[in-house]
Amino acid sequence: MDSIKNIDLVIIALMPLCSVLLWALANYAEKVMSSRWRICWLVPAFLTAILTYLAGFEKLMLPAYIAAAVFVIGLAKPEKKPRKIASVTAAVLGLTALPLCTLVGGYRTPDLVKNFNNGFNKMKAHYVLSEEKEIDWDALYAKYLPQFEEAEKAHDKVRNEIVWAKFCAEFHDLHVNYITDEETNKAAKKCAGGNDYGLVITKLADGSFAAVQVDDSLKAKGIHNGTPVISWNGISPAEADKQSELYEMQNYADEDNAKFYEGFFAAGTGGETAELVYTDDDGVQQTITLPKLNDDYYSRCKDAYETINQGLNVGHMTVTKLNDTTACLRIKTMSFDSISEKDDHAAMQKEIRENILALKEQGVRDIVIDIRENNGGSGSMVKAIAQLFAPEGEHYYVTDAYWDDTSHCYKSEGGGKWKTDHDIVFDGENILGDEGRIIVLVTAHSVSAADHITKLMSGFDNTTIIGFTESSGSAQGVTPTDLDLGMFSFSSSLMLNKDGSVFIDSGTDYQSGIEVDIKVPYNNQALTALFDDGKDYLMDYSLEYLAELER
Amino acid sequence: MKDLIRAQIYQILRTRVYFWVLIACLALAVLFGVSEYLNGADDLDEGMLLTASDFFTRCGMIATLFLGFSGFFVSFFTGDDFKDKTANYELMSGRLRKQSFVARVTVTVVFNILLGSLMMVLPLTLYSLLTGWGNSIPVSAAVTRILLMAFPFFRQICFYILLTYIIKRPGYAFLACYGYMCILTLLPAQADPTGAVLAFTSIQNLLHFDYWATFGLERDAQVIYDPNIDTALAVRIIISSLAAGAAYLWAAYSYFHKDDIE
Repeated sequence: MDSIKNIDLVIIALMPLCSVLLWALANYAEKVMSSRWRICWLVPAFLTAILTYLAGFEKLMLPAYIAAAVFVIGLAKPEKKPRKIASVTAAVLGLTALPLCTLVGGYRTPDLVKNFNNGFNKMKAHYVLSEEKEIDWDALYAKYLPQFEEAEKAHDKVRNEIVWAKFCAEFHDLHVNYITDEETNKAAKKCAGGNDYGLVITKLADGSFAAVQVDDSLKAKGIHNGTPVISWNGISPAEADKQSELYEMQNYADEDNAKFYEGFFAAGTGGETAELVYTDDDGVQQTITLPKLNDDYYSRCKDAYETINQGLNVGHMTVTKLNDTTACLRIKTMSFDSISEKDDHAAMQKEIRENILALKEQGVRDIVIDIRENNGGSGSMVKAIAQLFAPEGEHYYVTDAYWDDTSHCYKSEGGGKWKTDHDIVFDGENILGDEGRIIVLVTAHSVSAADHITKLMSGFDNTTIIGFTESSGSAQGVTPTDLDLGMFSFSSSLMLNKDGSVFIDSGTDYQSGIEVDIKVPYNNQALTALFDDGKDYLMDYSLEYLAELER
Repeated sequence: MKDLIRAQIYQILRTRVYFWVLIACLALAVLFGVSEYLNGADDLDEGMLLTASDFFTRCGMIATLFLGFSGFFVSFFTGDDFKDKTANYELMSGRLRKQSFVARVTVTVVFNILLGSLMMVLPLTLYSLLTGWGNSIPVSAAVTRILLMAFPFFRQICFYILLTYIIKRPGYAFLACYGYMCILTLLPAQADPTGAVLAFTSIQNLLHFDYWATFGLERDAQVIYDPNIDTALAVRIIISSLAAGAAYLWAAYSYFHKDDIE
């Protein structure tokens, strides 16, 4: 049963109330010879119009709206009988809206199919990577329309959220996103994630699978973080993964990143129990039936994800000394403040420069730029940061695409190339000097402007990109658009390489144009450090790398 | 009936205050355009001139101005003859109430719809002469929307007519019309995708353009407007406006038909 919006309740309550008052007034007004009383029969319609204006139109409230109009009969027919008939009719009609709104589904819920159509058509018209990714719009529409129709039939906002996420994942572009609200999004992930049996399965660098985020109840059975997993419900974790709806909702722009998370959602699939085949500490293969602990695999899976990926837990844009020779610049998102966007981040750049120079005086030589889980933001900020650390001389960043103002579109030149507008270049400052080294730490969810800085700095001689995975590989300009229900965003503005090819984003080959210099093996050693010892494995690896580096 | 209509037109043409209010009304519409021109618009870059098509995508203020001024014209055109008893004399001289009502309503509705359209067209023409039409939206899109605006204008005018026939004092009727409009603009309303709840929301929908923006790191943002109007929305606006307008007129006539005109 849906809860009724207060204003709708007021409209509904107004009908019987006005009915009683106007019934009484019908008796009185007939006795007095003044037409002024007739105006009273307009009041319900006037109030309903104003209240509907405030609350918005709702189709299930239609009987109440009609009831308000019925009262107007009393203005035109100033006799007692039609006025009393109008009062009774309006009261009955008005009250009919109450069960309609509470018992019939879809109260104040936008049409989910129409909502999808709106988003789909906007994206079809404006998505800038259609050509690059060879999107078959008709096939996508045919695949997803029935799913949205099903969600609409059930008036199910959570199902709608799940289907949208699956639709977005089809594009292999982390700029394609849909969200109704945080609460619905979480409910959708929980619903799609399946049941919690007490563990998450991760894939190690050698292709084997291991248990992590293991529940205490399983430890008594000999299963712990790092226990090798052979199969889940009789199939390999990679296959079981594909049975999870949460897997279908995951968006990766690069196949390598998708492979890193293979098996991650497998341990949420199953019914009341799940069968796990694993290798015990003595090297013996064991089979165990695990009972369902609860229906929230997503929470466990999210904790495991954060353990692997979270960056240094310090404030955004802080420079923290890690040891005598190394400091960390933590960038959680690629935005600083509203003023910075207007002055090309000059003030921010000055602040970082001062901090770094102060640390240099204390003996700091190297910098780790931690952009793990950085969700992107400003290209201007990328340029400002890169400018500080880049070796001296001119550096190329990216090329703006040419926009044809007459035909309102970018100009394709065929063969995956686009007409370019102008190159964006800058002069490096080399703030660390010739001895200094820079490490950039990334994850698969270092997105957009974080991809930009990764790509840009990977071209510097003094910089090494390190991560378990590559950064996301989604680098076009993004525009959000409000739908009747939810916010939908996708790549809308082209960023190019010098030759007119698409900057970073993957095409049909599912390989983005971004690589890490050192892909740190996610092995048992990493797993133990992360899940048992609570260490920041990537950061420790980076410090070791810097310490051993020949200069 | 034709005599009554002619008399109404004659009276309007001979009333100097109507002329000055009309001039003020059109001047304000043009001034609003001029202020946009001088100040530039929020999403235009410095030095960029606002073209007529740019201006049309942001001319909601003119419609609001019209709703205020039409309150004045409607209440005085239809209500002024109650004050000096002209309406009473008409009825005593053998005219039917229906004729008296239809004559005033016809003149009022036609004049105000033309006024609304003129208020929209005048600044656009001025802009076209100054900076050209531009390419934000085609002329046909603007013409279509201006033509469609006649329907919610009709609905709102009919509502003002109803208020005037109930109040019968043009000054108070104008205050009521103006107050109603002010209340609506001040209330935190929900978006009305149906475009049918009030004339006000129909106008909002007609003057709203879906738009899309693209940008570069060092290139000006480009706003792309969708000039098309949803056919279903247009049909809803036409039907709801005609139906509501007819209902207002019916209610107004019903009231007037049995009113003692005192």
